[in-house]
Amino acid sequence: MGLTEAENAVPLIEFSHVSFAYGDATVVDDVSFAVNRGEIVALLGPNGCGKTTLMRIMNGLEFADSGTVMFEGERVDRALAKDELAAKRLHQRMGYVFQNADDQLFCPSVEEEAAFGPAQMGLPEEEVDRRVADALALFNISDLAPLAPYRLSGGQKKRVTLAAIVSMNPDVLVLDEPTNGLDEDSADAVTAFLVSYAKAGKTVVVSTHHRDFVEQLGARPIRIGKDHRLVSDAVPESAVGNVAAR
Amino acid sequence: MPQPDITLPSWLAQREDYRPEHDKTGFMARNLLHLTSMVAHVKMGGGAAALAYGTGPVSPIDRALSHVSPALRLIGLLVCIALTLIAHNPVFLMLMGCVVLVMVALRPAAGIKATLLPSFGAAIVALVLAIPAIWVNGAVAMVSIAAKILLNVTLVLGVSWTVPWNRLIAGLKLFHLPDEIIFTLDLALKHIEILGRSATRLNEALVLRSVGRTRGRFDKTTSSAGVMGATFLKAYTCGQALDEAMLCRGFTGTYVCRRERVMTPAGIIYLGGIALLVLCYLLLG
Repeated sequence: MGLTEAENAVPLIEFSHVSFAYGDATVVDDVSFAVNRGEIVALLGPNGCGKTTLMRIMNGLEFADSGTVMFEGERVDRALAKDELAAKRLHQRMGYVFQNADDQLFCPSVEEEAAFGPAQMGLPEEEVDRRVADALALFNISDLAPLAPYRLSGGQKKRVTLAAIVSMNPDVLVLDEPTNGLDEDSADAVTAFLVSYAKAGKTVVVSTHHRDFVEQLGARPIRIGKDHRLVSDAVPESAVGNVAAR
Repeated sequence: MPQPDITLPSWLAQREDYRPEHDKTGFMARNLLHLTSMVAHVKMGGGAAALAYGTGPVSPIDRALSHVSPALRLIGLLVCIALTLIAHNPVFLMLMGCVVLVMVALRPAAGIKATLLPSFGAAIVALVLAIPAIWVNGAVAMVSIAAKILLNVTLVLGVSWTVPWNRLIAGLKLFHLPDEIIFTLDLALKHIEILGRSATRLNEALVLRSVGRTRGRFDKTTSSAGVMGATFLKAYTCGQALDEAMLCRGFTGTYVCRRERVMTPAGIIYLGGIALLVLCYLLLG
């Protein structure tokens, strides 16, 4: 992927003693972990343990009350969010797929959803059309292109959001429970895509409840406990082979 | 089980070398995000959440008052507001000030901030609006108006901080409001919060994907309109889903709102306190 030695030496994403609370309710408590370039990492934990909040902090939608969050050696904080160009760079480099697809679709058609990001990036019309066609085909929703997203089923909407984010070609894909609501074939297709995506040198961070999904991805599991603290951060044996193959 | 290899398109297998541009209309999405976040904050006051879920410190006075029926608290609030407004004797106003001060002072910092900040804001506005009173009654009238506003707004905010909206609305049953109106008010507040949150998330999605310069069919006005349209659709589907859910639970067309017991020991003590305040007004007036 043409990265420098310096870029490879620094973790891509780094959480260092991060804590966060909504009002009086602690949601993230002193969590530290790092994600390296080209890794697939899975955030695991019970409902309400803070996985989604960690992802929101990663993307600059929330800001840690204490501790630091770094992306490519740059601090992700309120100052970065206020810097328009830096924020846009972050959002292009880190694509975030929400847990609820309804919260992410705002264009009149599926085709426009997929075209929104590339058009924002100032790509030529032909390139935008190419990316839209490729992204829709990747998730097997080319036939849905002219349809309004709100008319689609939950699983179809999920695939549309995936296509809409992937069309921006982010370096990191952050996905909140990406296989929820998908049938078995669609879930397998998403899994296969994520593995291929990581093999191309990109980074994937998912949150999930499904252990078999983690195994299929060959992901490094990072477990968050009910007390919102880090429980474990391990490299599974099945991931070792996948990392070597990449 | 090894996953089949998928051939990625050439652009996806490469690193994007993207340099974003400034966008003059970027403020629109951010302001919309701020507005929808505020709407989403129409929810249970922090004190009510702490009382209900034990998520934070609670003042002993608020804990005691939580045992009083919200309907009684509404009546007490109205009586206090009326007495404060019609009082002429500054001693009575000082007495009310002491009562309010004790109630507020025992709250946690978040509760003090939630009740006092808006109250002072309202009092300052009242002070400014009452400036012409200087030429009629001197500065005393102006200060008196501001003080009354401060006391009354603090009392109202104290109730909203500590009593959940749904209990407050259910308390309206004491005033013989039809059950259907109480139900409609309840639903309206619930859906304001739900839709506010939904609109906030949609705006966040818009901000996350607005990585460059808006142009053509993806200009910010169109995108923001899309967010509002999606929120409207969500409102429509919420309404439909609610209708179906009620049907599935045997709704016959009549909504029965359960009424809380009013004359509990705590309620009687509370009424006694209000009566004492009325007596003080009559003596000091």
